[in-house]
Parts: sequence; C-alpha cells; structure tokens
Amino acid sequence: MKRILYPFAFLLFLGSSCESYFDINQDPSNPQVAEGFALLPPIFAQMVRGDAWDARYIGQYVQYWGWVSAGNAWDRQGFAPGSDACGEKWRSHYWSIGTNIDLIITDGVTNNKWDYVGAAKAVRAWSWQSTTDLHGEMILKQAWEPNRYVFDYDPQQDVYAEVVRLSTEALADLDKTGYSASLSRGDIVYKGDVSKWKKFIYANLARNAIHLSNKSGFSADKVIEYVDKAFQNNADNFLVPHAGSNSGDGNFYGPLRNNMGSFVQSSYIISLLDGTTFTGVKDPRLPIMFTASPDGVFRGVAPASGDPNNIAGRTNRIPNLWGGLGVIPATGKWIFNDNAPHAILIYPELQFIKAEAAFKKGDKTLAYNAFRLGVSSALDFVGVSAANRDAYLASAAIPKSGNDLTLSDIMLQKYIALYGQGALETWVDMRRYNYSNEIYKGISFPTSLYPDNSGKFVQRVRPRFNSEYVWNLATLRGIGADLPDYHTKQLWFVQP
Amino acid sequence: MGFTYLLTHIHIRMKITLLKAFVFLLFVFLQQNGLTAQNRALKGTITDADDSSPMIGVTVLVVGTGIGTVTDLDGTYAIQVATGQTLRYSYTGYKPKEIKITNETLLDVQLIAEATALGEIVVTALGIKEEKKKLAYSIQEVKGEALQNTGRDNFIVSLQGRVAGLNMTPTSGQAGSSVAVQLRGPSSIDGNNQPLFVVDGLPIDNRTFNQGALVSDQANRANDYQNRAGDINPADIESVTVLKGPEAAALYGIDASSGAIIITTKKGSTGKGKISYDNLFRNEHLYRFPEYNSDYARGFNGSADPTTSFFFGPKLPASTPKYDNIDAFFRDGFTQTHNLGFEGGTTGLSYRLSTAYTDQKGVVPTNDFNRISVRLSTTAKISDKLSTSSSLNFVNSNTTAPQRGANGYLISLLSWPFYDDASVFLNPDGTRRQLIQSTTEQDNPLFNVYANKNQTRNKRTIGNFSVLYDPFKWLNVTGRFGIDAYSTIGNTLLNPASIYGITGKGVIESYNENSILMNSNILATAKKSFGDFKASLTFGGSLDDRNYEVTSIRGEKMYIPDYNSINNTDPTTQRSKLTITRQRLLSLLGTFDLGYKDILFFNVRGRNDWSSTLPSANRSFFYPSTGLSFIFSELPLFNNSKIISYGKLRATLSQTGKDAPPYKILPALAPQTTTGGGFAFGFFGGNPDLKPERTQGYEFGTELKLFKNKIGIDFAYFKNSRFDQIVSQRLSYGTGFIFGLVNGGTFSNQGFEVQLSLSPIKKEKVQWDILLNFTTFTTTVDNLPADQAEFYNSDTWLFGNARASAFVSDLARFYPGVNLDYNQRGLGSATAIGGYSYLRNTKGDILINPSNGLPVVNTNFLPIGDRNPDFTIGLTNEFRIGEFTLSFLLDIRKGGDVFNGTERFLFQRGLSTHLLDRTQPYVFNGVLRDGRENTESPTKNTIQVTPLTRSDFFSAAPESDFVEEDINWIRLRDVSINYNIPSSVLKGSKLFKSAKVFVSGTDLWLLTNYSGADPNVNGNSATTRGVGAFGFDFGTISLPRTLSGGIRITL
Repeated sequence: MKRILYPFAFLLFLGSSCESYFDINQDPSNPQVAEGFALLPPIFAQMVRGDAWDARYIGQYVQYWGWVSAGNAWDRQGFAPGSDACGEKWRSHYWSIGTNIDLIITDGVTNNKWDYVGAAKAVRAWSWQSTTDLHGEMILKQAWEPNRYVFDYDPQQDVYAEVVRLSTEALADLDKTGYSASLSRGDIVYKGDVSKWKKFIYANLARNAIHLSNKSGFSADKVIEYVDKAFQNNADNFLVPHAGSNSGDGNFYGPLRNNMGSFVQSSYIISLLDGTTFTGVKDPRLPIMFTASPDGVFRGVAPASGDPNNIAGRTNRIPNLWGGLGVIPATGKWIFNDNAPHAILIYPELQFIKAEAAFKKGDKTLAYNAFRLGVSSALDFVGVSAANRDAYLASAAIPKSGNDLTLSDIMLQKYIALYGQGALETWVDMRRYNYSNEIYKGISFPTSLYPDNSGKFVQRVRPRFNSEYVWNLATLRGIGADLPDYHTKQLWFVQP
Repeated sequence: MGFTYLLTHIHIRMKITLLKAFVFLLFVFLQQNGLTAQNRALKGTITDADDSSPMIGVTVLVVGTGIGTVTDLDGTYAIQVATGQTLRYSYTGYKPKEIKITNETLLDVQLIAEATALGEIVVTALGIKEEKKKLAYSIQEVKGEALQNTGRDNFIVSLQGRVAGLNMTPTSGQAGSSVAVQLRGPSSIDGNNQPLFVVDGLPIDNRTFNQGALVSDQANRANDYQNRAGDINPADIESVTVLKGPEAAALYGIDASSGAIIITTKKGSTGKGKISYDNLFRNEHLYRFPEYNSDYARGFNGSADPTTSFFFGPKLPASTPKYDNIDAFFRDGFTQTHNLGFEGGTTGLSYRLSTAYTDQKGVVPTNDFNRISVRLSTTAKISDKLSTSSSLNFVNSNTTAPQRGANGYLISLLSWPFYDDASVFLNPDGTRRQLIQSTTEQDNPLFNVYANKNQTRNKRTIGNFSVLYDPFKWLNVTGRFGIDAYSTIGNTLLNPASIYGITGKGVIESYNENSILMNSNILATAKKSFGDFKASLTFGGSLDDRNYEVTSIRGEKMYIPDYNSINNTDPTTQRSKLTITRQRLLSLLGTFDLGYKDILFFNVRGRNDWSSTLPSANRSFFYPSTGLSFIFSELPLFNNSKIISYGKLRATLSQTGKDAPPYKILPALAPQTTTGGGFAFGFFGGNPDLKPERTQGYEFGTELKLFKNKIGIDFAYFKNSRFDQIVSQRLSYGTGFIFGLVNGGTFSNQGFEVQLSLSPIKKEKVQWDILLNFTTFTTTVDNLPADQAEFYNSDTWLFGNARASAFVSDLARFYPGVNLDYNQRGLGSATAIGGYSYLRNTKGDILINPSNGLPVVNTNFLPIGDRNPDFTIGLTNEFRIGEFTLSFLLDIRKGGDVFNGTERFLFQRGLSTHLLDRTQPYVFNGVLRDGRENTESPTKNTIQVTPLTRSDFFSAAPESDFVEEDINWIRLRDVSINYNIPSSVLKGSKLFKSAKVFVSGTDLWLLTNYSGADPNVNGNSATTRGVGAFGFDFGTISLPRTLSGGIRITL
C-alpha cells in the first residue's frame, strides 16, 4: 500500500529533499575518485608501457635490434604514416598516467599525504622529460585544460624548464614533515622510501642537465651535483616489478605478451660484446643477454637487412630475444622475461652521465672513476659474477687511466649498459653526438634510408597520429609537423 | 505538518476508500443477476444512415446506469432495459443519438456520420484522450488490428509505412533481432535517438542490450539482442499513436525528445463474457542473397594455393562440381502463434485476460525465438467520482541467435569454396573439418551456428495502476504508477574448436541484466467555460526512476569442449565486470488551453525537468511550447461547402532538452589488471559543466477533409534545430582522455510529411480505402562539437574504412589544398558515410602509384555518401468486398546511399561478380603521382595491370567504390486477406460469436537497384548510439519472405 502511495505523494516533499534525491550520479560500479595507493601501481605500469612500447621502434633507430625481415621502415629510420606506432609515450603522458597524477596530488594536498604528492610530481617530471626527448614540442601550458579542444604546442625549452620546476616542487613536498607517511602502500617500486624518491628526482634532473651538453649554457658541475644526489648504487634503481602471471601483469618484453616476436638482436650490439670492437675482449654479458645461433656463433641483423637465414633448420639462424628460433618459448631470457622488472632509470647510467660531464669539464680522474663505477655496476646489473666482472674491468676493453679514457669509451659502455630498456636515452645520446661513428665506433647506418628522410638521419618521432594528426591538425601544421620530413628536424636540446 | 504525517493520512484515507470499493464490488457482483431480472430484453440493428450498412462496435448505453453493450458483426445489439429509461447510441465520427424507451422490444437505429472530423479523439499525453481538433501538431494513429494482421512478432516493424515521418530499420532477418526507430530523423548526434515507448500512459523500457557491458567490451555488431519494446504482444494493442516532434517532450519530458510511440492496450468490455482465440502459422523463406562469383580457385596472382581463403587462383575448368552451399545452409523458418483471451465485466468492473505464445524458428539453423505473454487488465468504477484501472503483464522470451557480421555465418558461407560441400563440417571422428590450416580461416558456417552459442532468456513484468478521480465536475485528477522490471540471462559460447574460440581454448561469456523502471505521474485538469470560450488548466508532474545493472563474467580454457557453464572454465582466466546505472528524472508541467467555440484553440505549455545525470547547477531546465489550431471550416463561409467538410490550420513552436547519460560529470576510473592492480582513468573524459542538449523547433500544417470525408489531407512542415549536443568526441589526448565529453555542435532537421487518405468506393458491400504517407527531410550540420570536421560512431566501422559520420559543410577549411570535388555527398549531413576515397590532383584526376599502376587512396575520412533518402512513401490499400478484406502496404523509398560492405569483402576475396574476365589488362584512368601531378601537364597513366596475375588489384579500390548511390526500393511489406465467416453461418453452431480466417504475407516482394541482399538491414544492433547504422550492410541476411495463415474466433 505504502509503495503505491509513495509515488503519488512525491510532489509534496519536493522542495525539501530534492537535492539529495538527485544525488545519485556517482558510478556505483567504477569509482570516480581514488587515493594515491590505488592509483600508483597502474601509473608505474603505464610508465613501463609507454617506454617499452616506443622503445621497440627506437631500439631500431639506435640499432639495439632489428626487424627479422629486410626493409622495415623503422630500421631505415622512417616511420609508419597514419598509424599510432611509437605514439605510446604520448598516450601515457597525457592519458594513462595523465590526470591520474592530479587525482593523487589533489588528495595528497587536501589530506596531508605529501609523500604521495612528491612521488606523483616526480613521475610527471620524468614523463615530461622522456616524452619531450622523443617528440620535441609538446602541449604544455594548455595540457589537461577543461573545455579546451584545440591545443597549442610549446617549445621544448619550456618543457625542460617545467621538469626543473616540478622537480623542485616535488623535492620540497618530500622534505615536508609532521604528517604520517603512508606511501609504502601502493608504492611497489620504492616501498615508500622517500629518500629513494628524492634520488630518483635528482637522477631525472641529471638527465635534464646532461642533455644540454651541446648548449653554450651547459653546466657540467650542475650535472655532477645532481648525479651525486641521485642513486648511490644499484639498490636505488627505479625498477617496476612484474607479477608475470598472465598477459595483464606480465612484462611488456616477455613471451606472454608476445610483443617482441619479430625483433632480433642487432649485429652492432653483438659486435660490442663479442670482441669485434674491443680488441678481442669477450664481454661476460654476451651469453646472459643474448643467444647464439644453433651453430654456437652469436649473430645479429645488419640494419634494415633482416635475417636472410630466417628459415627453419638453418644453423646460422638468429634467435629472437627470448632465445627461441621463430617460436615463442614458454620462458624468456634476462629482461625479456615475463616477471622481469622494467628499469626506468638505473645507477650505471648516472655514473656514465657523470663521467661524460667530468670529461667535458676536463676532470679526467673524476671522469675515469665514474666510468669504472658505471661499467662495474652495469655488469652487476646484468648479473655477471664478481670474478668475471673484475676480469672484464682489467681487460683491454677498459682504459687503464683517465688519460686513456675517450668520450667514445664512455658512450659505448653507456650504450651497452642501457641496452633494451634504456633505448630512448641512448637515442638522446646518439642525437647529441649526431650519430657520430667516432663516438659509436664500428656502427654502420642503413644504406637506404626511408624515402621521406631525403637522406637525413631521424631526429624525432611525430606526435601520436590518432591524437594529433586527426584531432589537432591545424596546430600541428603551425609547427610544420605535417611535412613529410618532420621526423628529421633536429630537436632544441641537440642544437647548440 | 510533515511529509510523514501527510503520507500516513493519505494512507489511512486510501485504505478506507479501497475497503469501501471492495465491499461495493462484491455487492455489485452478487447482485448482478437480481438487478437485471427486473428488466426486459430489447434488440435491434444499427445501420449507417448514409448507406444502411450495419455498424459494428456501436456503444449502446442505458443512460445513468453504466449498463451497456456494443453491436456485433451484424450491427445488432441486445440489452436489458426498463420502460422510461433512455438509451444512448454512440460511435466515433457519428452523431450520438438518445432514445427514450417506451415499450418496444425491437429498436432499429440509424446513425448519421458527422460531416466533420470534429469528434475525433486521440490519445496523447499521459493516457489522456484529446479531441484531435485541438491539437496544434501532427499526430498519427494506427489501429492495433492493422498491426496484428501483418502477423509480425515485433510490432515496430509493422509501423513502417503506416506513419509519416517514422523510419524503422530492422537489424537483420534473424528471429529475435532488434529494430531501430527514428521519428523525423536524428535528434542527437551521439545520444539515444529512439523514441519513448509509452504503454497506457506510462513509459516502458525499450533498451537493446549494449555489448559494452560485457567483459569483452564489444562494439554492437557481433551479436544482436531483442529491443525490449518488442516484448509487447501485438494482439494486446488497441491502438498506437505517434507523436513525432519535440511537442512529445512537452507532454512526456525529455525522454520523449526524439518523439513518442504511445500504445493503448485493449481493455475488457462489460456485458456477457467473451472468449477469443486466434492462431497463426507462418512459413519464412529467405530468397535474396548477395551475388558472388564461382569461377576462380583459391590462390594468389593466378596461381592455385589451397592454403588461402582468397580466390585469386586460376580459372576453374567448367567441369568443376559446384555445390549450392547457400541452399544447403538456410532452412525454411516456421512460426506458430496462439492467442487465448477472455474478457467480461459487470457494471463498473471489467477485465481482460490475454495469453499469447509465439514460437519462431528462423531461417538460419539454430536461430529461434519464443515468447509467452500473459496480461491481465481491469478497470473498475468505484464511485461516480473514482475509478481505477490496472494491468499486469508478464513476458518470458528466449532467443538463440547465431553470431553475425565479420565472424558470422553469412560471410563464411559466401567465402566457403563453392567447389567444396559446406554441409560436411565434421570429420568422421566428430572433430571440426578444417579447410585450411591457418589462423585466417573462417569457421564453416554450419559448424559456427551449431558449435557456437548465443542465447538470451528474458523475464519481464510490467505493472500499471491508475486512479481517475473527478471530485468536481470541472476538475479531474489522474494518478498513475507503474513498474517495468526485467531480468535477462545471456550466454555466449565460443567452442574450443571454433576459429573464434581457438586462442582462448573455448570461451564462455555470460551476463545477468536487471532493470527496474519505476515511474508515476499525477495530473490535475480544471475546465471552465465562459460563454463561447472554453478554458482548461492542467498541472502535473512525473517521476521516473531507472535502475539498471549488468554483471558479466567471462572465462576461457574450457575443460569439457561443449559443456556450457562458466564453471567449466579455468578459474585463473575468469574475469567479471559490473555495470550499474541509476537515473532519476522529475518533471513538473503546466498547460493552459483556451478554445473559442469550435474554431480556435490556443495552448501554452511549460515543463521543467530535473535530471540526476546533470551537474546540480544545470540540473533543472525549463522548456515551453505553444500552439494554435484554427478550424477554418467552422467559419460561416464554409457552412454549406460541398468541397471542404473539415479544414484546420495549425502551428506549434516548441523547445525541449535532453539530459546526459549517467556518470558523465566526472570521468570514470577503470579497474586495472596490471601488476599491483588499482584504478586509472578510462577512455572517456567527464565534463563538470555539462548542460542539457537543446532543441528548438516549429511545425505548421493543415488538415483537410474534402467531399464528405472522401479525401483527407494532412500536411506538416517541420524544422528542429538541435544545439549543445552532448558528444563523446575523439580529441587530442591533450584533454587527458581519448574521448572528451563535449557540449556543443549544432545541426537541424527539416522536412515535411503528407498523409493522404482516399475512399474512392464506400458502398455497403464494397469499400476501398487508400492511405498514403509521404516523408522527406534533410539534416544540416552547422558545426560539430569542439570545432571538429567529423564526428563518427565507431560501432558502425563494420568492414573496411567506412563509418557513420557527420560532417560540417565547410570541410575545405580543414583540408586546405585537398580536392574535395568528389567528396560532396554527405557534406554537411548528419547521416553521412565517412571513409577512404581516391586521392586526386587539384584538377580532380585520380592519382596513380607509378610503381604499381594502382590508384592511391586518400586515407582521410571524408564524406563518401549520404544515407538519408530523398523521400519515403508508405501506401496502404484496403479493399472490403462483402466479408472479404484485402489490405496491402507498399513501402517505397527514393534515394539514400548504402555502403555495401559485403560486396567489398567479396571483391577483396576475389569473389565478386564484377571483373569476371581477369585476363583483360586494365589501365586505371588517372595521372601518375610522379611529382608532376599538379602541374599543367601531368603524366597520364598507361601502366597495365592484369587482374589475374595481380591480386593487389583487388585491394586497391577504396571504400568510396562500394558506396551504392541513390538506392531506391519498392517493397511489398504487408499483405493480409481476412474473411469474416458470416453470422448466418455461425448462428447454426450457437458456439461462435464471430469467426474469421486470414492469410497474410510479409516482405513478399522487393524491387530495388541495390546490388546486395537487402538495403534495409544493418550490421549493428539498435543500441548503437547516435544516428545509427542504417545504410551499413555487412554480413547480415535480408528480411525473409513470409506467408502465414490462421483463424480468429470469439466465443
């Protein structure tokens, strides 16, 4: 009875309870607001996804690996028009990491969770840095602005400044005291260790500063200062863990996700490890990182040439990065395994940055010491035994003193240390040194570059197609991004 | 005085009233025989004064008693009366007559037709009957009998052609498929465009299940689901009234801003009880298929390759055996329907109980649909001032529908080698016979429909209760309350051996859908006359509360291959998903009507809606409407007009709004399956400043009845401008999302409708009536949200790069330097096809790739067609010769483009009937893209391509080549022949009150210039958003030809 009457009587109480009556517009199936601890793990996953996804293509530019068959556009320093290929960092920066960061910051500022606020800003600073190094000009000032549908691009210089500004803020947030820290919940990388987050921020700042090495205002001292405040050893590395139980939580590079099936190791990386470049010294990392052909010889593909022996039964066939021959094995290898963590930033890289800065400054001893720390920790990172490590450090591959040290030594060891997961940073280095084969000894570039390159080396990746080329085209035209050779236009940080 | 007190107070009062009512009813029931015994019998026949034909269904009432009856098929009546009482004879369209009884036992009466249509009554808002003359907008009514006579299970399909401005698209010829309806074109570029369905004054749910709620989150194309308005048993429908424009929203609120389809159900009549039974047996036969070629073997570049499913191999020898796989696959469908009902009543109380059973086996093996419906409706007059009516309807329907579209049976049937017997789909050991060992293989169509399952089981209850209270002569209060609740269990199984289930090692996906819609309204109308002026004032409100919930679960790795239970899947693969939506809508409305004599009627309405889906600041919105109706034939000038019997001019100006889907203010966080779990923002952005969509429109028209109602004309011109559209628009990721939720964009619909009715012959034994409905409209897109060039519906991206799009008219602004001369079809239209076309130079020549001689495709999505027809006509002819009635409906359409995705698929597979001679070298007409293409002297292409040796020839044609332009059709939609067994025959049996036999056919004949199977089906389901997927044909079967017959008897 009451049920029947209720609706007829509803008009009588309208005035009083109207607002609460309509207050049902929050989704009961999916939350629309969440706290940092629930947002952080997916953010880490998206940091990896963006980095790893695009590193597949950048790994072809820097010759970490090549496409198994010949003539691939990316191997030829080209791109895939009309596709989102190599636009994943764009996606993660603006969307999948994107405003999730703001949710954490808002909640943290309101509820005194400064550890979350600092960590969130640190991630965003890292994301600005690594994304602009890929694409150059970005939507900065107008990013995430409500009710805006056409977005202007800001120069890379501004993005670099934003990294410093955000990092400074993040450090201040992490220095705050007088609240109860809870970051350990959700922080599957540093388990809530605020000091490690601060080191990560300095590590990112060190990248920011060393990238400007071609500029007149470059400060080697600043770089060294940042490195010294950053990671102290491999235990401080920013590693994102993977459960690896199914395709959802597996490592991007692992066999479960099957993203690397058509990539094989390059001849260049093999040449750096098998003694070709380093006067006969066999690098102990070689068998850990790579797999030999059935005949026992380590081989790689020459740029854009593919593996001509990619035929079942051939003993000189080049295995894929999981160690399989044309098949997906159940388990992968090294960083190409389902449960392998993905490295966002590691200690060896920082030591090479320090070595390079000190070298440029003319402090050979400082440079040499950092260089040795870099090589030694890089061997540790790969999992080389202490004995093999020390043997390699004593070998002819390693200069005996600061006076013997060359820039090429530093950059080549950094190239090896960043193999795979550090492809984006390696590309920054290669562009800073203009693809010099003085620095990258023994490298050879594809004889036939992608047609639209007009003979020029690749310098940048276009903004994501289905974000910008379809829905923000007018603005893109303004920066010349519609031109066929836009990807060969040098970035600001490379220019003097 | 608080609310609780009021509620309690009303509670007690109502309790007493209802108790009284119950006692009263009991009393009436018990006294029935005693009361009538004091009277005597009076009989008679009622005839038309014009031609002396007997009149069926004339109401005969004993004035002041509530006792009454209606005349039977012979126009005769019998009633108990006492001397001195007055009998009132009334019939719509005729002048009522009252006769005081003296001592007659036989009383024949003649009724005179009213020269005008002034007395015509239609059902409009909230179940209120209104005199049609007062209406300032076009309204159209269809009798339930006409719908039932078609024999169709889903009554919406039968509305096509019977209502001007109504456009219906069934999604396929499968049993249990959904039907999309639009009135006067789209009203929303991205929202729901389906009209509101109202049964006996209260809205019901017409949802079609959205596959987005599944764990697998599919676009609405692989499966089809019944639209819930199809649950209504056509035999329960008394009449359907269609309100086409924004004025429907003025009456029903924003849910009706795309129009309203108002259904009045049959009620019991008082008098002697009646049992009625009717049945229908129907055969369905599919007779239209896409044409495909059977000359070439599988292979590439002219060489045979049995490991591919592309047919670019050598020409087959003429002696190759050919199998008619299409014939082997489809079957003749069979349907039986039984309706059993009884009705009756005494003074003040009547009831009607109807039961219906439909069992349909579709033309596709395993495809079936069955429905059981039970409906009880009662009306009770409790006192002179108070009456109630209520109904309860329970429907149980089950559908088994095979997969369609890209993974469906039709595509795999067409691409199955014609020199292989497709009916052998199993190996001798019972395993699937594989044609090729490849992941690009398609399932054998028969294996597909037998091994894979897609079933839904729906149970639905609709309850309706209304109270009519007339406390004073001048005041009428109506209150209604209804619940529409249903639950659906859906299940999809992809067999582990099926190519679609192979990677998951068998996939089971189940869902449970629960919906409760509660609504109520209350309306008070006061009437007052001042001399020649009649005024009425109405106030009311309505409340609408929707709760919808879907739980879906999906698992892989089935342990037992065909054991269809989620428990039979590997627990580690099981994923679930919860979707809940809650919505509340409150409306208050006020109407003021003023009439001067019977000449001039003026009304003004205002309505305010509050929607829970909008931000609180924008939650409340008001929209007014006003209308004027002028019956000029009432002027003295026309008093004795031989030509004009009735003439009316009308005009309406109205506004309306539309709210947002729920939970769009803030973006939603989606659960993540990455390491550590947690949440992250989903694809869709929110909009904290969301405002309602708005429409502003006008309509004017005229209604004319000429030559004593022999000719009737109704003309309506309308224009509706839609602005502040709520659109999930793909945008730059700079928004923070993949889709931004944008409030903007303006487009308009304008057009006109003509209803022409003719009665060339109106004799006692012979009658011929013609009704013609003509509809034409265009949409004009002024601008799109966020100043984009295109909006598209991703669901409609069925095959290749063609999709349902809206384009702005100043497209050149977005594509400087691109030659758009060949992309003018669909420019500025909301019903466009967006897709790939040829890349051209500035002069318009097609550019040819100098390296292979094939045309270069322009990969910008540009307009390549417009799906909107030039006009549509529905033409109904009804002949009555003696006891025979023949009625047929022709559905005619002129113009409108269709993307033939099936043909594109066939062409790319080498199965098209085009280019059968592949040895003839072909030179594409165009210029080489060699750098000189935009100079004065471009290089003419001379590169020869021989299709036989160049398979890439067949993938070079862009989607624009597969848009079939200006598709016309003439379709014989419905034919029915009824024969009333004369009462002279029936009288002998003493059992039958009436009996009728009928034969009917649907979609018997189709004449069209469309090369595919059927231009009136589409590859999505009716749930797809926005303008919808009509005009996108891919992998969907045509409407079958059906022939049915049965009887209808009343005892």
